[in-house]
Amino acid sequence: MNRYDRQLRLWGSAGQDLLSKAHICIIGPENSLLQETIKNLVLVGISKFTWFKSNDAPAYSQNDLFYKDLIQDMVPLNPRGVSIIQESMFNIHEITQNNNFSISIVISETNIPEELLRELSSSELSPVIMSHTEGLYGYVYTKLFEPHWVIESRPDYEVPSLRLDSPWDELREYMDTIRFETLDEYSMAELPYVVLLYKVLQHLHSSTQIDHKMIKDTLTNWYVSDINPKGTNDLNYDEALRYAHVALPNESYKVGLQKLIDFSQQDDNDRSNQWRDNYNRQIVTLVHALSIYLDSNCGDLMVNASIPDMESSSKIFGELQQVYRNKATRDLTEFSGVVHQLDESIPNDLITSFSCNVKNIKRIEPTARPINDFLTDSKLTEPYPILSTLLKFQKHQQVERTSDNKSFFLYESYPTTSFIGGLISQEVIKLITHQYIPISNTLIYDGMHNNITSFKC
Amino acid sequence: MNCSVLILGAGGLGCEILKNLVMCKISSIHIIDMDTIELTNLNRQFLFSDEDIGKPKATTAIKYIETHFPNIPIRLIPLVCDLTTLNIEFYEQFDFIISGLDAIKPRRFINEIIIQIVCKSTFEKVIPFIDGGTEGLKGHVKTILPGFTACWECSINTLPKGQDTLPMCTIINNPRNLKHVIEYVITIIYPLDSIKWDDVFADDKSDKIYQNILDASFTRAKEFNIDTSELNLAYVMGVIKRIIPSVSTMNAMIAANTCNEFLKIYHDMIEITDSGTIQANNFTILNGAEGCFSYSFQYERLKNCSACSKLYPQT
Repeated sequence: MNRYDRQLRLWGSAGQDLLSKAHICIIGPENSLLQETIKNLVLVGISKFTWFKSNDAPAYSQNDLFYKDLIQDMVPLNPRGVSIIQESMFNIHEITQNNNFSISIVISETNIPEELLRELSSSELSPVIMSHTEGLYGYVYTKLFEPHWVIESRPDYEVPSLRLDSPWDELREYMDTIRFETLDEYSMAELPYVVLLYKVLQHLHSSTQIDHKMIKDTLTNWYVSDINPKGTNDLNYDEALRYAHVALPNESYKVGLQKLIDFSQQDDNDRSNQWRDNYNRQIVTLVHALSIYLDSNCGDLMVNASIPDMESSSKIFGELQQVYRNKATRDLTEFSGVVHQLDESIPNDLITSFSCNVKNIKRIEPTARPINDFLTDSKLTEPYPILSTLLKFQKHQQVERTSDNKSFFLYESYPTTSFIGGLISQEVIKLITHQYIPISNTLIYDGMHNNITSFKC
Repeated sequence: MNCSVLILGAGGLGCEILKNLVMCKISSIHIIDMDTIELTNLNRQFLFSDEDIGKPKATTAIKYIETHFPNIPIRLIPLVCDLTTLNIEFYEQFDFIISGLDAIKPRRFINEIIIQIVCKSTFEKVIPFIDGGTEGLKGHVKTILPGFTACWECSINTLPKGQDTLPMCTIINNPRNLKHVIEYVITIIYPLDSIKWDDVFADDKSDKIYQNILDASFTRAKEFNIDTSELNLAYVMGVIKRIIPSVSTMNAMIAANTCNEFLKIYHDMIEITDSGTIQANNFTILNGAEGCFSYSFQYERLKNCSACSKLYPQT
């Protein structure tokens, strides 16, 4: 068994590999929020940190910290070794020169280099996550300097694309070998529901506009009336009714995909291939390859090798699965060819992952405003009183106690720093692995009401 | 804070909850867990390290705190046992119960106990029960004040249905994927129920059993022409143990949320109206897979709840 088994089930070995190579930059005083963030990142397998430590923490005493010797206490949490290099704030300009950090995290600190604050050399800058907590409240803000692309956004549910409405030759031939008139009721009960749906579409062939209701009606009025009257209690008939929408052409992804293709061309022009994050560069190349592939395949996407499980005999399911697998292999070979004409260095695993997830690809647009505006432009944060108060605390400004903000002064909440420490590290994981969708771009936690508010700032 | 808290479970959530309560300087903490530490716990259970593998979780967690905080004025008591074997007199001593369990049965047990305590004391003793749970990048927190809010049983229908719904016909006659294959092996060839696990662990034979299950799965998958490229020991374990993905980040967030609920009740910041109802959201779900989404709401009591309806006057 692997130490990381429970999280490998979330992002796989490709994601874990990216985490183990990451180098995190942390800026801030040693407070509990900083300790909690580092602890979570070490636990998930990150081992390289550079910490620009500020001493600007009058409010924090040793008693407020869980780790009395942070660097020593992190050692047992990652047997590969943990390196936390402490740097003086005097050297903080190194962040923008010689910048090989995966991400910079600014915790409860406002003293950061001008280049970062005003985006003077944005093509050199890694994403910045900034955060502060006070009492039951906290915020997390993410600043990207280039679009962030995600292949594996991992939605909870997606409609499978089975191409029943536009079958390729092998699928059509396979479906044609199944002939209702030669089958008895027992054999018909063993057919996967996609076969029933395919036959329904064939039966409706002359109709111009097929909708969800017509498919269900045909199942009832044709399949279990004329073809297989004993099939009304069959599980495959049930499934065919439940998943009738799978038979319809699902075009809804096309608009989104076309937008991504346009964006990828725009990104390519804007940056003339100057990407800080190689992963982003590779995805943009893959999207470019996809648009070439679609042009030469009448707009049909690569077929997915796996089909959802459905009631069926093992034999027919296995055969059907093989038909999809064959097509998927052919499509992938063709697509890989297109990709490698554009860029030979893109690894096959990435091409496969892209091909399987083509409908789930996401692009997060960076905000145009520099970090400095977020910190200083009170008009931006005015609609969010909790955020403006948090920023005042972060900047060590005098915060007058009023009836509106009195709950900030009630008591310290260690759990709140722990919550935000968890949230920051979760966002770091998403950005590094390019899996799941990161926040875009500001989030406020209100522990008093158990509320989270997110918005773009 | 002068207060006695019981933590249920010393796993991913339990370690976090214990740390948070220590930092909140609670005067007395009990932590109960019957399990021992395994390698796959170490990606989130940060009070344990590699040399602790095989040791009981509850005592090891407390030992960590005692070693790192010598002379701390907190009464710390570990319990290594099945919590359903303890009686109502044991549970009566606590002011709060915070749970980071991964099973349903012990939660229902605790829910029943705290309702009995309310009954027995005629509303003199109400122990808040705050329940956290995670699954991958998702989680929930339920706050239960027996007699005032919905109890754990009231919301039992919101639980996702188990995966035990595979029809036997599929498993025996029509396996189509690796899950069906493994279910067959552990139901028919090496029935898990008939394995005497205590003996297995005593003799260190568990590796052998898992290997046998893996071998039999390969044979059966071949027989039915099922692709085995993903089949390995980790995959088999995932199916056998119904493994739920887990990561330090969401664990920390859910545990923190349970502790903030505790703080708010302790500091009297949850209002109870004259009619005896709570004016606060007692149910929170959190999802970090797409941005970070949270939804908090007031879960209503179930009028005919099998557990808590006895606390209310019949209308």
